Amino acid sequence: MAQSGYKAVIKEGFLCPVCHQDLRSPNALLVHFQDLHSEEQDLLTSIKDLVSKAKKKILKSDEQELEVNKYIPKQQYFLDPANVSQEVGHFRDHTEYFKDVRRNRLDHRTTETNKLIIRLDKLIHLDGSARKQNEQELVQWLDGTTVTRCPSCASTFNITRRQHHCRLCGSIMCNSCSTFLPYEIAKSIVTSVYTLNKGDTTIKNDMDSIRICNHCMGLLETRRRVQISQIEKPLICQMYEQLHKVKCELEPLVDLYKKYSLIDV
Amino acid sequence: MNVIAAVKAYVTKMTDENEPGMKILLMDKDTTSTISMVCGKSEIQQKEVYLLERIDNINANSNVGLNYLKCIVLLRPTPQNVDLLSKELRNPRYGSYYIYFTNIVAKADIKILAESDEQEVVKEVQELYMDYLAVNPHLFSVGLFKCIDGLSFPSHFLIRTVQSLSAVLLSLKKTPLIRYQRKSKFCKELAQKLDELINKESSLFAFGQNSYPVLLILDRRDDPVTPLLNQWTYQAMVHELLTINNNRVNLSNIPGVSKELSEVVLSADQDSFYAKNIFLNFGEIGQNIKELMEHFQAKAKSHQKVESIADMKAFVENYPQFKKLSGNVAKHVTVIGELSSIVAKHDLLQVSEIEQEIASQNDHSSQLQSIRKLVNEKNVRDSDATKLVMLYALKYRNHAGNEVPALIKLLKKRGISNFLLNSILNVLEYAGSHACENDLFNVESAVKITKRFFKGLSGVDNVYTQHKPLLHETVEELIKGRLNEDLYPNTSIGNQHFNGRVQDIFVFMIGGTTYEESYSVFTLNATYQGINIILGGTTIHNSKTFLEEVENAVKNIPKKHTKHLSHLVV
Repeated sequence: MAQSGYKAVIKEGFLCPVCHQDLRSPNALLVHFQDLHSEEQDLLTSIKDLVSKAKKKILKSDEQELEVNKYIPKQQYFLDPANVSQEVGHFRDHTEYFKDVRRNRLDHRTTETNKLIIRLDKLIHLDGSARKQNEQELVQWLDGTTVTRCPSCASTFNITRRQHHCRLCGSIMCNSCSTFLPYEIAKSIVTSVYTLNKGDTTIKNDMDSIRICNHCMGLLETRRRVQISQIEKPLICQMYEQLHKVKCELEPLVDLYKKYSLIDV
Repeated sequence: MNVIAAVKAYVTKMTDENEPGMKILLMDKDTTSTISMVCGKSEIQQKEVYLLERIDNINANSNVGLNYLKCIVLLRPTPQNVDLLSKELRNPRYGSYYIYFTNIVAKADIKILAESDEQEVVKEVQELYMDYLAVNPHLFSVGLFKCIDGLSFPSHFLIRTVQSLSAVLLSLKKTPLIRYQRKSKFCKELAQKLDELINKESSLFAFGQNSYPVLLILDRRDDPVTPLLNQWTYQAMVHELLTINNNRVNLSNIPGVSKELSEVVLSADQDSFYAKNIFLNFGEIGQNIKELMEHFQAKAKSHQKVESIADMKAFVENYPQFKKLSGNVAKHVTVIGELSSIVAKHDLLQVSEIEQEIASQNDHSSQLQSIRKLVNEKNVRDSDATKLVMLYALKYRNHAGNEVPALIKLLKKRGISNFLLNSILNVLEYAGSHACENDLFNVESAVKITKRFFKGLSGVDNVYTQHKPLLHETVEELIKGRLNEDLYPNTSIGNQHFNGRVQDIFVFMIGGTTYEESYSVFTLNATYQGINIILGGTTIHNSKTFLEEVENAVKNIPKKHTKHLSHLVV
């Protein structure tokens, strides 16, 4: 996507994959897709069917297993620790509701972060010469004439405290409320963490950096931290997984060993 | 119906539901007790749970690099816990969270949590109803000590009790008909609150059940005698003499006890000797422990000779079992040794004989004589002497010629502490407050009730187990469908009568139940085929905790029934 960015106009937002129309919100996109491109829906429904059939089958086999468990004879000795099998009592699942609430809240945040990533990707591929102008074309800078105070620390702007623009969201803040994001780091943010070490070397001016506001920085950092934590596994964990795997392989062999060990030498 | 198995099934569900991997279990104070009652640590570890943590005691230093752990959260749905958990979710220390609440949780609380989960670490949110302590398969406790305060049931304790009871019902999938003791206002309050909850959550309690379960709510005040008696079955005796607290017995007071035996766990689930002897009487246990010792010695001998390869193989294979057995033998020998030394030292056999006689026979003059004799005995403990007078006072409180004042004077001469002397009056107030309250519905006369607690069973060969708790008779009447509808009404509005045979019975005792009653329910379960009875209580008493509960229950209440005695105690 980044390479084609120079020539063709890249659209961002909730685009319909068929007619490239920007629908502005995920719900609107879903409605649009269902209304206008219903012929493509056939494929979707057939996939859905398949999934639901598989689900039914799995659930059914689970039920059968439960049925078997029900007919365990009543315990002989009342407090005998050996026979304490009983079907699982009643329970109630709130996971769906929980995820609904969470999704509603996080959707906004995710959209915003993704927007920033796309913009950042474009920004680091800009040429040095007309950089400022290109930057402003990409992101609409806020008009600074009416802003007299920094919105985040509320100190007045003057000759020593000048206005700066965040290159990612275009908002205004003072020097102390902004950070410089070096290209090197920006690059690693944009590239997927999973291919981190393979990275290309197309960017030359490594010393350059982009001024962004603390809010955008926070969003980017959170995303990065989550991604890293997902793939990072400490040594003990890897060893444990290995151990577990070996254990699973060994378990069937133990029975075999016991059988053989009974044969007198 | 088995409450231990019910909680275990939930634990298995909870630990099996997520993908394999190392897990941590995050709990609160109450859920820690719930889990420890049914699972040993090694049992939990087999389910890949390697760390246990308390949510109210999170170690701030340990928040680095644990995100490869899956966190199973098991909490009661209290506002404090929701608050602590939402803080935890904002800065998650573990990779993923599987949240389980032990009771009904409010939608609003789930919303708070969902809004805190900014990093999408929560995978599962469920309600698993195990908000109670499962003690034996047929016995559970709420874990509420001193739940009656100044002759009223404080609302937070009432709510807690309703929650626990509803969890028991949900975990066993039963929606019962609620019957309660009419003359007790606590029973009525509890029955109404529980009924309200069942109606409010009618979708939860909609089980396609083919039997009619009954929940019978009783009041401890109706039978203050049972918790005062000395016990002779294993579990009850250990609780009376050494105190069982969440399956744990503290033995550190015994001189010369080794360090690993200073606190032992008595769980019928993991200890087959205990499971087999839990309801046997002291004599039989002595016999069994002797057999266990002999078995152990034979094993130990066979271990001494390791001469051939085959011996070595056998040794290696049997050693873990042998080790386990030796730990078990040491534990029970210590416990039983301590029990028998207490029995011998304080003449408990004699004391108990008189206690049983008072509880189940009517021979005023000879009982009075025996009490006088024992009160002057040096070996008898102060508490036992006091309890004898207490039993006498309870039994003969309506008897014109009773000599309670004289006996109290005698105790005073012995130099008994004020607490114990006061507790005699407290128990009389406690029992009296019940008999006189709500006279309108009080069909039975006070004399008849008094007779009822003391009604014994003739033809019992063991003099130490003549007494049967009142509960035994009440439940038996219920099973036979003869329990008086006026004394024990039900909460259903339409006053529907079902004539079907009762199958599943829940009995709940406000003010705490006892192990003697548990034994009684056990024998009822064994006698009546096809009937399942589960007993519960706000707590499980021995005589010491019961007297504290009584003191709390009648404190700050003007003394109505013991005015004539109060001058003796001051």
